[in-house]
Amino acid sequence: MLKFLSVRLTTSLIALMGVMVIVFFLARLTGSPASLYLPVDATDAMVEAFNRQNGLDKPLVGQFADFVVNALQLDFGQSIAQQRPAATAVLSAMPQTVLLAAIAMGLTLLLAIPLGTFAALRPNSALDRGITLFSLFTASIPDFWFALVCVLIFSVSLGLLPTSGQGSLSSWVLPVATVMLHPVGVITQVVRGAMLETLNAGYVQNARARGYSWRRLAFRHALRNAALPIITVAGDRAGGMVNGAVIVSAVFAWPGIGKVLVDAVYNRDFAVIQAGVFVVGIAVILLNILVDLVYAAADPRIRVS
Amino acid sequence: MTTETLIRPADETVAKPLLSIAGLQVRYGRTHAVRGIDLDIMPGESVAILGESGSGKSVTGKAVMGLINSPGKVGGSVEFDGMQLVGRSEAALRAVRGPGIAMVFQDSLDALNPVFSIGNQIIEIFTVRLGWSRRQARDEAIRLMLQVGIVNPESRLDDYPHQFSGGMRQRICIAMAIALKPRLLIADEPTTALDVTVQAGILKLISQLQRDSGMALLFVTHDLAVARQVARKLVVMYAGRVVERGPINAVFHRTAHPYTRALLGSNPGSVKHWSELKPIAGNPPDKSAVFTGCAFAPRCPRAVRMCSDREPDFVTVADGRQSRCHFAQEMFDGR
Repeated sequence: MLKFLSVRLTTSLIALMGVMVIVFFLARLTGSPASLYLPVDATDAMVEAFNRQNGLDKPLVGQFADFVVNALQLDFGQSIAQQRPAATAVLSAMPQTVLLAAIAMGLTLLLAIPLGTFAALRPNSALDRGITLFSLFTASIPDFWFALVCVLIFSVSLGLLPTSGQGSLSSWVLPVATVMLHPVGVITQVVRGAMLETLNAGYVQNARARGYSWRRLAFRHALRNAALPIITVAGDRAGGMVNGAVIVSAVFAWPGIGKVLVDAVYNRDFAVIQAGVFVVGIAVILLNILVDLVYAAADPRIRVS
Repeated sequence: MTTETLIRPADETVAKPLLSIAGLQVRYGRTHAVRGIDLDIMPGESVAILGESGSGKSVTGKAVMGLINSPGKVGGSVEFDGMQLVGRSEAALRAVRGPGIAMVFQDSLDALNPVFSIGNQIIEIFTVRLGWSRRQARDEAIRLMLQVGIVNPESRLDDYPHQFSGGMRQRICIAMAIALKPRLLIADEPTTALDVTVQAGILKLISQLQRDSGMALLFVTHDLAVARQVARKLVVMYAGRVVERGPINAVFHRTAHPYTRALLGSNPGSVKHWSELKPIAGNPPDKSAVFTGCAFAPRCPRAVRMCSDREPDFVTVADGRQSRCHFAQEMFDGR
């Protein structure tokens, strides 16, 4: 297991380095920060001074060499827009994002697992059809549209929830709901499919022959075996929640990593873009390792091999 | 119906059968898996159901336990200890499963939950069904594992099903089946997936447990030699119906149905040289077929016109011997 994890970690870090290289050059395709931060009638001397101050005066290869040397020491440079270290700007937004993702994923599983299980317990029943319809809806509705309509109904018309920002508990409702929207539908269907298979497995029939209740059969004997595909998809979706939630940042001005990244792109704040991608990359790697550990906890056959 | 009334000693019902199956049918849409079975099992009696694959023998065992899932439909009557099981609620059936009727399945790897340790799965029976403490249940689990021949049970409690050999796994399945001291054990081809050498040990174990505990046994198999090792009574099935029944040795030595005879002739254990083996010509009938006459007629060497026109009734050829054949008496008399 340890060997497996260290191999996983190594390959992940190599992938992350590749991503960092790509991001470095992609960011510079957006244009020069100087034209954004300096007045239109700035003199060549002013531009030169600005570039020198922000380390943009060297040729691209030189900038890249600086970036690599500093990044290896976990120094991602200064944010031009915020006038503070880029890493600080990114990390200060991280708790909002992680908390939002954790709450949303928790609620998603809390909703999707019972829904998928009940659908699988009575396949093709009215309940199953209703649940399937619901999950198809949530998986298919565009999330930005859902977010806007929710703001329109609950914030503008009814005045129940705030339109944006993050403060009181009620400000969490719409962002969490928006982030959950697609995962709930997708994971409900994954749970249903996996449970359909395991509920008909020999060991569940055998457990039934020992006189156990349907609750015990479904939630203990079948669910644990259905866990692997559920964990896989949930892990993937959790990664999506961590690395973006861009819709949430755009519609609700949610002060998470998504907003920091989007602002950084608009502001040509290269250092923040690079630091942000790095931090999100690390978060996704950690998430994948967590998924591997949960795999092993769920299925003893993985633990041995 | 409570568990108490089920495990009551049957002294006043000595003459009554423990399990009484009458006209049992199992249908999946237009597919008839079981087409009307009558079968009585007395307390402590051992009965083998013999048939080739697709004869409906396994489905019969599952139907008795109420394990036929939708869209399967069960008709007829299954009375266990005087209680009608067909059409019962799942809650009522739960009380019977375990202390009333227990089951051992063919594939032990499939029958055990791969993600829980063996100890967990055995202990669960006692904590859930009897409300025992975990410690008490653990002691009983160790005792049970010893009883079915697991060496060093204490050190193997935390092992998972895939860490056991096929024979050991089937022993564990048997231990779990007898955990609640059932009055009837249904064994559905419990040795089919095992090596011959391991098979003998499992059959011996089942026989011994049955003798010691006095439980009745319904043994489902396609192998007459295996059936003879554990059962006293034989029921031969063909196309979802019983075609012959009687004491197993008597049937073995003197068959009264062409199908049973053909089955014996195709069994490598019953002939001196493989060249004498006679496979049964043709295939078992389609399960959605509708019969007017005897289902075996198309493959039967004795069949005449009458056989495909009219279904034979049971003919009693000797005491306790019945055969569903127009020529039952002639067959029995060796003509």
